[in-house]
Amino acid sequence: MGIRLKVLAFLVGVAFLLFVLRSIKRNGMRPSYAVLWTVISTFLISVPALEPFYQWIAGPVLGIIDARHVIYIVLIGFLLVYVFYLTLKICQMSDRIQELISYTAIMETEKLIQEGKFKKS
Amino acid sequence: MKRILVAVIAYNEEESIEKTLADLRTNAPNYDVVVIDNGSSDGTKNLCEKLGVPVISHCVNTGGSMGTVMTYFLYAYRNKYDVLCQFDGDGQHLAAELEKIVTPVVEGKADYVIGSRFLAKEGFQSYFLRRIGIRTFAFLDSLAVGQSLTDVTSGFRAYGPRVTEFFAKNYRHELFDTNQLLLLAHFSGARLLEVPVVMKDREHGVSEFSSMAAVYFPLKGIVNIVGCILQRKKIGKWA
Repeated sequence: MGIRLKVLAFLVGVAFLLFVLRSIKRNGMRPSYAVLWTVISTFLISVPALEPFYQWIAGPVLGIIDARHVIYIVLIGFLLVYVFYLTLKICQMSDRIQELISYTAIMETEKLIQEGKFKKS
Repeated sequence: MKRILVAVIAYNEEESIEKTLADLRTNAPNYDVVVIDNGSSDGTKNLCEKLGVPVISHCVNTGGSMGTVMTYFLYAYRNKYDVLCQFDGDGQHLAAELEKIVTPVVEGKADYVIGSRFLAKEGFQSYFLRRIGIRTFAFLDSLAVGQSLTDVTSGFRAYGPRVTEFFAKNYRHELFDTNQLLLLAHFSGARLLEVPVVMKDREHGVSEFSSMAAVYFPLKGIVNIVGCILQRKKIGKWA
């Protein structure tokens, strides 16, 4: 793995980590989401130091000829997992929004019925 | 005497809702009526209020007609209705036909009654492409429930109190389509029944089934059927 790629991975990882920490500090990101980004930042930071380990993972374990591809595979894998996680979160949010919309609408109508604006039957 | 609620679902039905409500007033005077307005951007809500009909209005649109289902289940459950009917606000359904779907529930013969336009083969029979979709889903749903069904996507339905309670308690969120509704009800132990009814074509407004939806709905429907079958043991425990 070339020195330029190692430096780039390290710098991107540090930048990501700083950005995540700043977002947590400003309450802009929930810890549950921050965990995922912290993991990927740590992975990128660790690339220069743990290169032999990643080369071992790439070659003998996964059968990948070029160790650089491990970085791409891990990053794409992470993004897929993250998109899946976000899809689940969106479904949950959408359910909650639907519930809130229904409740709000029902409460409003029941209040109007109690006030005698509508006849119930 | 049984308390019966007719939930008229509407989205931008300003041109047809008055006629629909007049039909209900004339031909189903003993039923309570509530309009579930799914965030209409026209004057549907104001018109209903002017007519003195209770209207539950979503602050934003929550998708197609299924976006209103949870609201009417919750409302009927909170107000302890014995029978709940879904009725389209676009003028497709006839108030005079309501008794056909309500009677089996009142007599305790069924918990989920579908008004089918294909049993008597009278009135509006839907469009060709849509009919193909309905037949396909009818075949798949019939297999899943072990009972012959013909008009599974019909929006002219009546539910007994058990079904209302089941959905109000367990599905306080988006229900995706009528296949899901039907199968969930079946797996929760509801007795299904189809009765012949006559329907009309909509007089105004636009159907939720656009050309894009013609591709999306069948795929979604199949995923829903598979999903319900996979969940059936869990559903049985909730009921």
